[in-house]
Amino acid sequence: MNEKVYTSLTRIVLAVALAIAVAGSLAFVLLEKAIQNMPFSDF
Amino acid sequence: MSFVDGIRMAACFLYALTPYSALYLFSRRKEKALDFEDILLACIWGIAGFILVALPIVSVSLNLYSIVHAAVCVPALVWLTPALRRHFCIASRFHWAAAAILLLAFLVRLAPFLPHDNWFGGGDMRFHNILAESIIVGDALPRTWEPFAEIAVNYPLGGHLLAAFVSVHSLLPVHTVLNALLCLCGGLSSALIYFLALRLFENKSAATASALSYGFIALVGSLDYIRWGGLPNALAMLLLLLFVTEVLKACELEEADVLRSMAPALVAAAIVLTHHYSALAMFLLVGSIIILTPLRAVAKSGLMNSLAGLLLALLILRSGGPLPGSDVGKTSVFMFYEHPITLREVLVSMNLPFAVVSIAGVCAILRNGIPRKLSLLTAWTTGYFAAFVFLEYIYRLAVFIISDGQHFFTALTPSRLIADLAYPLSLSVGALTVYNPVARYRTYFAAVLCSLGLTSCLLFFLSLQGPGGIPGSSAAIEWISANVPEDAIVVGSLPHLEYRSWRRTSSPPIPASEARNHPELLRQRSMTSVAQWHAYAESRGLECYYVLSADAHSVPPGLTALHSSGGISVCIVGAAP
Repeated sequence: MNEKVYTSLTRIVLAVALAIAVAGSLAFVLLEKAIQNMPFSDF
Repeated sequence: MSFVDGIRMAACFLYALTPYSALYLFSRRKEKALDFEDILLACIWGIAGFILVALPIVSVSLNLYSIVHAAVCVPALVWLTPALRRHFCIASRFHWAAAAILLLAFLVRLAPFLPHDNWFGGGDMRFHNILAESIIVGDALPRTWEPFAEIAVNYPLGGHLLAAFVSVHSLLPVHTVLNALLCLCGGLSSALIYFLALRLFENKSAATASALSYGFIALVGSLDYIRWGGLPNALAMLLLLLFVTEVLKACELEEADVLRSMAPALVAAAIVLTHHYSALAMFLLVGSIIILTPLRAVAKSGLMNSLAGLLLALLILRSGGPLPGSDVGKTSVFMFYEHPITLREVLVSMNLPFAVVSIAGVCAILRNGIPRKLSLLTAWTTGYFAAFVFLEYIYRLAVFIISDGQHFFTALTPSRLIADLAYPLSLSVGALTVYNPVARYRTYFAAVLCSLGLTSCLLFFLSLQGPGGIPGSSAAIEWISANVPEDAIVVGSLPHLEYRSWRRTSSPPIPASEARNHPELLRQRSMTSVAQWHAYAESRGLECYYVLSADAHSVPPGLTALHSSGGISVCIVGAAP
């Protein structure tokens, strides 16, 4: 495969992952009240 | 720990690694002069070799391995020393920068321990101390978590075994050795990152920038290991760096050489035997190289060697009894209640300056069309970040939606992927010294990196200089060790109570990979009243004690205080005997 294909693929995966991470982080902030009483263990 | 103790421990580490390191040095090309990279690789190969050979023997007996080691090591030293002198000459280019970074990175990590007389280690050391001590107490690899819980040990014990061996021979406590090994991993990883960056960028400035950023600026996955005590992660990721180095070297071979081509498989096996999560990280890296890089030879070698390593590790584990992991349904592997992590928290945990320079490095590589060799770094970074995003956001939010807002767990501890991401990100920092616009201002960039390193190390040091534990906890633990019967159960928790007193407690520190959702442990966690614990202890014929944050006069009804100091009381359930 052309090396440019790998470059484009890497950029697309990184961009999509970053977009999901931003959206997910916002969702966590919005869900703060709903999850505040849930148990979270540390390890 | 005194200076003499430190020298004794260093000598014992050398004693443990020597036969395997010497074997590596003799396997390399004789015509090449010995440089610091050879010594570094020999040292890390020594760790891998020790784990591979010692683990199957210690599944029978630690004493047996000590005898075998002495029988092999002493003659090997006598035979090899003159040969080493005859065959090797020191290279004129010794890479002193890498040697200095190794030493400094080790000392920076050691510094927080020095003001404390007896540091038992960060959070996860609560169970690593127990596992390493269990090897010494039982003279073999522990099969279960007894006396703390009747569940099987799934955790790989390669690193614990090295610490136990050094502890036995240096006569130092196992927690001291584990913490020293953690500091050593930081130094060795920083130096290996230097040589890996040198191989990828073919530029000394880039290598120095990468090593400096890992050794002194990165927090999670580097300096922060000291706080959370992630020894197996740090050791196995050091071995993963060695795996990548050896795969790249195997791909550079001019002639077909099956033995050298398959050498990384031994490192891969050592990774599997040291830390299961890092083994996953290794396969994730190999998968990322296959999908996201044009490096066909590297992908083929990585895949073959990682699979061969997995097979070898399974054979070694099988030789010691049934394979671990059959109770995965009772573990927290796929139902892990970790606190949700936002992107902002990811950046802060990495250390913001490190996040800025490393992301700038990745962007510099991307802007330059990802040069062929550097596609390894972008694939490594992308693979780990995409896996983190999937587990932390997609999996977690899917669970929340499917469970109708009842659950918010994740799987496979995604925060560990952020720790593992520190390695490829550090390597990417080197790109800033190679590509414009920063490349024109290398001197200023070096000054900025050094300033960030100094500030980060100072803040890291200060963050670990707290009040030195809970007041009264040491006295309470010592009292429990001296006065509580060995088969009693202690309700409540103090840091390192289980390791220091070797008494069973109501909430033993057991990692997510173990069957900690076993019905017995779930029952223990559900009991909250003194009456429930009283009935539980009576039904098993045990004595039951409580350890509480309370004065002797304010203990709850049903308990009798036997010891009190610094606001911590140890009580017996019922009347005093």
